[in-house]
Amino acid sequence: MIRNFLVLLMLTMPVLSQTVEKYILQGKDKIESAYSQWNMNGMLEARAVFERLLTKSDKDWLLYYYIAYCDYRLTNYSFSENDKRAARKYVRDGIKRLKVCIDEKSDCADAYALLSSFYGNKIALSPWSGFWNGPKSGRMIERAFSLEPNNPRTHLISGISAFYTPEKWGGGKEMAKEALGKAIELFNYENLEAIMPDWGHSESYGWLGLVELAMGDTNNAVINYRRALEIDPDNGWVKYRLLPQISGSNE
Amino acid sequence: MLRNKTTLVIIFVISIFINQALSYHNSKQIGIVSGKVLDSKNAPLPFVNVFFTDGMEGTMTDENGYFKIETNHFGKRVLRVSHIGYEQKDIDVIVKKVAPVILNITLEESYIEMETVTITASSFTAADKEGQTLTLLDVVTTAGAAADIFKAIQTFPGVTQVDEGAGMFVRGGDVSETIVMLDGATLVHPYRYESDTGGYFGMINPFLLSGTYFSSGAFSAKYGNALSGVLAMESLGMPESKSVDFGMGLAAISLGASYPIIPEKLGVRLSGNYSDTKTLFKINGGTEKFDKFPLSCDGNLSIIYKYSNRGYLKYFNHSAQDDIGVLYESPTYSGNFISGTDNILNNVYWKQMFGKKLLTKSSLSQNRFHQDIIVGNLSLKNSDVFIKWRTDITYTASKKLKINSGFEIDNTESTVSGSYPDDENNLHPDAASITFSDDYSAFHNGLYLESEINFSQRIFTISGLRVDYLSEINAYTMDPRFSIGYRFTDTQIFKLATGRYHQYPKAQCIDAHYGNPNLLPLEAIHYVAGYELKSEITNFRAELYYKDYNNLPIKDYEQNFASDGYGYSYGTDIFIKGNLPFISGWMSYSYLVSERKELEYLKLVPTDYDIRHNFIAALKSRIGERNSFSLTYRYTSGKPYTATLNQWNSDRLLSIQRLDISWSYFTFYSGGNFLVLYAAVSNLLDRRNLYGYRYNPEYTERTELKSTFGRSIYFGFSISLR
Repeated sequence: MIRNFLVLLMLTMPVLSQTVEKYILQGKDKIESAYSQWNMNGMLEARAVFERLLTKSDKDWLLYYYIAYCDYRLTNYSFSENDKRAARKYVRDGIKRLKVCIDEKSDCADAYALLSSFYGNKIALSPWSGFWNGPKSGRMIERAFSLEPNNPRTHLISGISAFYTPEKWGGGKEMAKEALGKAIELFNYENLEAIMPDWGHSESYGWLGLVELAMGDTNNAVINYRRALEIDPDNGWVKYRLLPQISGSNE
Repeated sequence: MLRNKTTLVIIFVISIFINQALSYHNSKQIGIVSGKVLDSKNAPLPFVNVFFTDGMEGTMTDENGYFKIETNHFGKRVLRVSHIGYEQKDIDVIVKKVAPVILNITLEESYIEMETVTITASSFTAADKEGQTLTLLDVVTTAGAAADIFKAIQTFPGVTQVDEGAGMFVRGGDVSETIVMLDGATLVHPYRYESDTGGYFGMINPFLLSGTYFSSGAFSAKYGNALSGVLAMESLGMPESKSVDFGMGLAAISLGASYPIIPEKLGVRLSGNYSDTKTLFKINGGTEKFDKFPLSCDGNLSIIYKYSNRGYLKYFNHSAQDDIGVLYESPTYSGNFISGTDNILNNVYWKQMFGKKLLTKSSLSQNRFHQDIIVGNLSLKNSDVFIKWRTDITYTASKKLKINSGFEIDNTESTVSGSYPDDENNLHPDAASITFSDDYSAFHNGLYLESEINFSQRIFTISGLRVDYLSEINAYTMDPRFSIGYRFTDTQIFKLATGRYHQYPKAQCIDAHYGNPNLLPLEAIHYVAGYELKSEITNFRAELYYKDYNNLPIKDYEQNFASDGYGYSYGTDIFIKGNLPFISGWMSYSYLVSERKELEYLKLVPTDYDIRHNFIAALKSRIGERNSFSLTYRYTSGKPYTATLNQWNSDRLLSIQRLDISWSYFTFYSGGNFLVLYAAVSNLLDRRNLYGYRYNPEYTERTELKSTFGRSIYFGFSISLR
């Protein structure tokens, strides 16, 4: 009788039954939602959730990864606002967090892929630093590929990097298209635990559309933008920026 | 069964009721923690993460820096305040049911944000990193520097160029007063084509280096046996990928390869350079007449074994050889100067991190050197073997306190034999000469302890003490050193530094037959005051310094040498480096006064390197993605020379001007491969600068020493395959 009472009492107690995993999921929702809405405050709030979790989780490497992932989104936001000072700050923090993540889990392909992207950001901040950050970025993405050849986010980051890298330096639109196509194919089969990194599916279609647009293929660009919105109807980047750009140019 | 189920439903309803009642009760009795977060200038900080460490309760500050957390967990708790770019703060608070807690919190900017600011006076760092004062790219694209790190550093203030060589005369100090190190090993003979003023090039190719630290004064207690300057270099680490580099120029061929045998665990680097200047001189002419054109070659091998994430071992070998036969002309003798040199460095370097706070770096090195020189009645055979063990320990107690400590033990075995002229101005083979043979052996050890303290975000100090012992003269020295910096804005620092420095007399001065084994170690006391402004596009520095020299060896008729020499130097160094969209580079100006009474100068007179004004502009412009142009202009006022017997350095030569330009064209290929084409015109103004005279013993006749080249060209290419 008493046992039953205690069991039921515990079941109805709020908050205490929340687990670290649930907070990770909350943080994931927050960052994806903030990214879709292109909302800096939301990105910072999501980052704050992961930072708070650091005090009570044994999944440190995953939390460091997610903090760096928030930094990655904040970096891109800062670039879009032309705020290089803020971008530099997030890049520096992101690299620091990923190094800790890799120290704790040396086979984390997602961390290496994101690290590659941050070194690419450093080149964007200081083009001459390409002489040393370019090889670093390349080495990190190679490492990510060697750890998990079928990680879709590695292909996505590789595709984005190729899009911004001139052909003569080992990039180009064709290469970007191929990598993004591969990413999309792999996203279709990805089946992970809910708390693991799984971002990028809708975004891959957005990037593929952008590459196709740059190659002059407007029709396929529109098709891919719409596919992006089928996966994430709230994808603000595609909905409010990429698609209207095409509509505007058609008008 | 039914009864049980009914009971369960009743309990469920009761528990919901109790729970709701508790919630209602708690909502009536909440604790509030609120406040404002500011930066060190009292400006509100928005988007700061404020949370309790024992739960997920937390919030972020609003645009005015305000926050408010409502909680129903009472008692002593820790509130964490965290923001990117600022030091995280933990605050103990007691949450009460009635009284709200109101806090005003100030966050200090993170030290990491400031790491690129050089905190020691008079120092420059070079590496392939943002924020460094000299990058590898700077070294190889500086016109006139000939891709030589010594010559690139000569474009910085405080380094006087006394001729066209690479010798580093630092703030009124002789070339021998700057110690050169690689991975902790001392390079006893750091120059190629060695001469009295250093040598024509540095021994180590910049492509072998990952970082360089250069200090022109008031340097740390880590460095001993150097009166004026330090050049500490670090060789490349683990190769990241397979690569082959090939370069060919008018006077040199180079080949290098790197190979990660086990990626991130074991890697090897190999490189070699062969330089024959015959074609260069044939095309450009020149003032020198060669019996044997300058020829040099070197080979480099490094093997890196990273046995864990916390440490690695590196073996480095550098073997170099150079030969030259050039016509020596003076009023008393005209004949060939023939020189041949072998220089080999072996070094094993071990770097290990213990825990999160203790870092050790150790090196065990051997430097073997052999040189033969013949000119007229001067004939020298010199062999040195220098063995050294050095360990540096760094304990990072906190972000505010770092302790550095270490020791070095070394042994020198040196043999010099041959003959030298009785009068240094008469090298004629029939003139009187003295035959000698001398062995020199000395054991030295040194120990240092140093603290780096950041008292606040604004004030930092470095305090150190160094103790050294040299067996040959049985002398102990004790050198306290101190520097303090005050960062009065985020971009501006004021620094003061002082210290005592010792250096042992040269072997020939303490020789039992020809010198005086009772000489004291040479001493210098440095005083430096400096200002630095560092922003994203500009680095500006201005420094004033004074150096007081004592115990300098001076010729003495009874004891051969005595420690009665003295001197001083003072001056100012100004440096500005800028980075604009189309033009970048730096300019430096130095004013120097250097006077000494030492060696054969029996009264206080200007030193041979007392060059009062030095101005250098090293500018670069990048046009498009592929073309880079560089220009280096140098002006130095005339250096002193002795025109009359015993009137040492009483006259001055004319000023020297030199303009060098270079162009580089980069072509990139897929996979990170690239080709660089380059061409340079040296001494574009075709000025035949005068660097000195050779006199006869009576000082009635002289021969001019002029620039090796007038206007000259150099071109080549390098290709890198990955």
